[in-house]
Amino acid sequence: MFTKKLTLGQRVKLDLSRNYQAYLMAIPAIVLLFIFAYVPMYGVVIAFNKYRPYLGVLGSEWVGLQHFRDFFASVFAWRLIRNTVLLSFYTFLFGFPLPIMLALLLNEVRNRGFKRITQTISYMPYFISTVVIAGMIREFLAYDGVITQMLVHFFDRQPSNLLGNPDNFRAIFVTSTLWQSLGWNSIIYLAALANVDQQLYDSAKVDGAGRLKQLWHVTLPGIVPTIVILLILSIGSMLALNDQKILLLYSPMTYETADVIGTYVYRRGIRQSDYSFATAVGLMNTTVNLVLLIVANWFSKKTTEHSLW
Amino acid sequence: MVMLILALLVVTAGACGQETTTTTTSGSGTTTTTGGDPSDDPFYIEGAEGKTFTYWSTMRNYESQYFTTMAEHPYYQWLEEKTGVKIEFIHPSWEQVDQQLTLMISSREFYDFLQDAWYPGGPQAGINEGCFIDLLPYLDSHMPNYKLALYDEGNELNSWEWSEAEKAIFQPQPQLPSFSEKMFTFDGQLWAMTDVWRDEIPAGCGPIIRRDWLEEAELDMPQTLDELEAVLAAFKERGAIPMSLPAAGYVLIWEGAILISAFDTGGYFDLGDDGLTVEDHTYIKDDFKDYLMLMRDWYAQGYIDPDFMNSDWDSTWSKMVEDNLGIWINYWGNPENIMGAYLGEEAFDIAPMPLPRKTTNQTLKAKQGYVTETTTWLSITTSCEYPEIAAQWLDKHYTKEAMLRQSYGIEGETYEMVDGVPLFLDSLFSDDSEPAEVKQQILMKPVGPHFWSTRADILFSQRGDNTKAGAAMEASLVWGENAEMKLRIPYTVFEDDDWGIQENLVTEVATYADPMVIRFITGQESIEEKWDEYVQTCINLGIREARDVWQKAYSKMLEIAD
Repeated sequence: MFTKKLTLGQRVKLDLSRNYQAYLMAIPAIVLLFIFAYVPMYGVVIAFNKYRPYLGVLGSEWVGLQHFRDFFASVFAWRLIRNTVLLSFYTFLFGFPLPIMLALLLNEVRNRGFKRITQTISYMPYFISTVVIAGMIREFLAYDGVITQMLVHFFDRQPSNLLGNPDNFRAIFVTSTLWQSLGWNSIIYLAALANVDQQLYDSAKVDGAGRLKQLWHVTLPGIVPTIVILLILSIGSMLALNDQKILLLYSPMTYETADVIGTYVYRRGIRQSDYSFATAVGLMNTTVNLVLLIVANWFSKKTTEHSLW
Repeated sequence: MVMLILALLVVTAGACGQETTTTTTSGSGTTTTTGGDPSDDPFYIEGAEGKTFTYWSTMRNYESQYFTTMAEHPYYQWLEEKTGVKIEFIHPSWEQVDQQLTLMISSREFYDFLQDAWYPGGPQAGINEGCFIDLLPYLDSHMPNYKLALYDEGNELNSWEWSEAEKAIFQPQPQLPSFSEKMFTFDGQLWAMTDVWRDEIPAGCGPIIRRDWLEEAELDMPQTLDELEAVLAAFKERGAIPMSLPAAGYVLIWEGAILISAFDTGGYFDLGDDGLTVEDHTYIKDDFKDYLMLMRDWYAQGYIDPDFMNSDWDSTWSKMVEDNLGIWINYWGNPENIMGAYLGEEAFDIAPMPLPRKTTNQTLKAKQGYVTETTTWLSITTSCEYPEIAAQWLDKHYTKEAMLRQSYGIEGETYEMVDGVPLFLDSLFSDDSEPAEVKQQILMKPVGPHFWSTRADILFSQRGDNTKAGAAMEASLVWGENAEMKLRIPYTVFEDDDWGIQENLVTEVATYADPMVIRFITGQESIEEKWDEYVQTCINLGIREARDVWQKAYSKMLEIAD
């Protein structure tokens, strides 16, 4: 093949002239991203100062790492970190593979009507507001709630408020999150599955592959790029817990397992407009996530050749 | 997008204080002076003609259903006609309040009047950083009516409203003289004006009991803890939940104080008997230990909602309407609750229950009232071009005529004077188009600070007998029996970051103590064994330091008041 080294300028020029329509279309998205994701970024400065609206973002008194020290000085810091990491980890552990399995199972269903109904039902909870979901959970798990009563009758347990027991909190949180997001998250895999070349299945059949073999050697490899990208992304957002849902579900009784960094900051920072403290903790969280993302991406690049960048 | 919003805000803010012509008022607009010397008119303000002020305030529920802006409210139209001052209202939604204030501070462009604006860093910072103007210089020269309302206890406005017969029934008490101190900063500047209650109102919160169950069990209304225990036992016999305990997160404060009050502690830092010292937080008081032991026993007996630690208002409410709850705690005038319950099925009869006491000769120290609470406050900002006129306009809210207009409406239309005392006309209540308290708000009460007539409130509720207001007033009278408000620390301003410091300490303690309190009540932790350790942990977490911060601030407040 004819290869001639082009200079960078030439390459850019060539690219622009060839793909200018694509670049034009990207402009709105880039502008949006710039305004909403990059311009506000200078605001993280307030994590290091004592922010007063009057003095402004740059004019407020500089306190350095004071807010970070404040956070770690709390006797609850370790418990908060532990709860945050564990809740995130469990949510990831179950929340990541299950949508893939659901998608694979749905893909094997041959009855189109049944498949569609199942799919619709499974992603319906995604559209219920978190507040309503939390209300339902509270109601069902109360002393005389439906689920509690079922446990009492089928397993002969003493009735008790399931949500009031710190030992149950993680299971309740993870299960309800799964119920809420399982169907929705499987949609993207279903889309990827639809793109797997039908000819591959046909030739696999000719080669004598059964259903399981087809799944293993055709379907899965076909969606591995999607899986890897989503895996990296979800590792990168691992510590971004749904604090709102925890706030709606927890109580002093379950602080032991349910109190996470986000809820603590809410009780301490937001309620009294302590923006700096909240920003500092948020920054910490984001930094950890960024590191996780980079590590996951690097690891994936090394091992699977698929990566975000 | 953001830029656009910002730009718009700046433009609007920039318009404040100027004589804009885009006023939203639909009233006649021009004034009124009735011939003769204009200074005879109590509403005459020199140079007020044609001036427009911007007024930043949220809207209350009822009003937002009836008006698009408070300029349409009859009271403000009346006042505009009287004074010639036009008000342009800006109504942020509740969620936007903090954000809009922050934007105003960043741009240093404010509306002329800010209502309920809690300046970040405190009121003193609000003055020092050039947001609020100090109203003190205007108090003497431009606000004679407000000054009279604040300071003069012999003010004739304080007693004329009540007829002798009414006095005998309601026993109105003069307002605590603490209002004057409320809006002062540490440097003795007046950062805002507030509403002035005419008389002390009855309690604001207390227990409600199923009167029909009580009658079926042939028991009297419980007065003491012992009697209450007998009632709870009878309710338990029915298979119902005898009593709800306040929802988690509020285990101590507010509703919690209903049952704690028998133990002479108020659910927070208590004020000592001398009225000067700030005592320990309820969390670590021995009285609280006694309370917890009783609650533990009651919980073990099944007298308390087994789900109390997870219940919120909705779940308590549903237990109540499902005919499954004997006693619960309610707020005064909380619309849906009392009305719904009172107008429900006939067999469903509820009544307010007096705060239980240890013995019948105990006078409770922890009444739940609103008296020391400031409900609204209003500041004039540095962006206001004519602060003298603004101050005088605000002052007019405290004249006798304005007070009648705010509380009783229009003479001949909504009330008449009988023997020198205003009485509502029957016609006001005869049409059922709106509930009484809605009429009160959409016809009379201004949105901001004003002279507040307790008597008018009571009359409103008495006249609409079966409405929630009547029931609410009955309830608050019952809850106020045998109770004084001694333990609540009066309104206190904190210096610099002190408010945040004590708040953080209390949050830290509560994170530990709230679960412990529940464990004590449910018996998961032994009070006898763990109490000392629990108290020590609370102290280690800084509950005493938080008290010291309160003491420092409160002592300073007392100093200023002197």
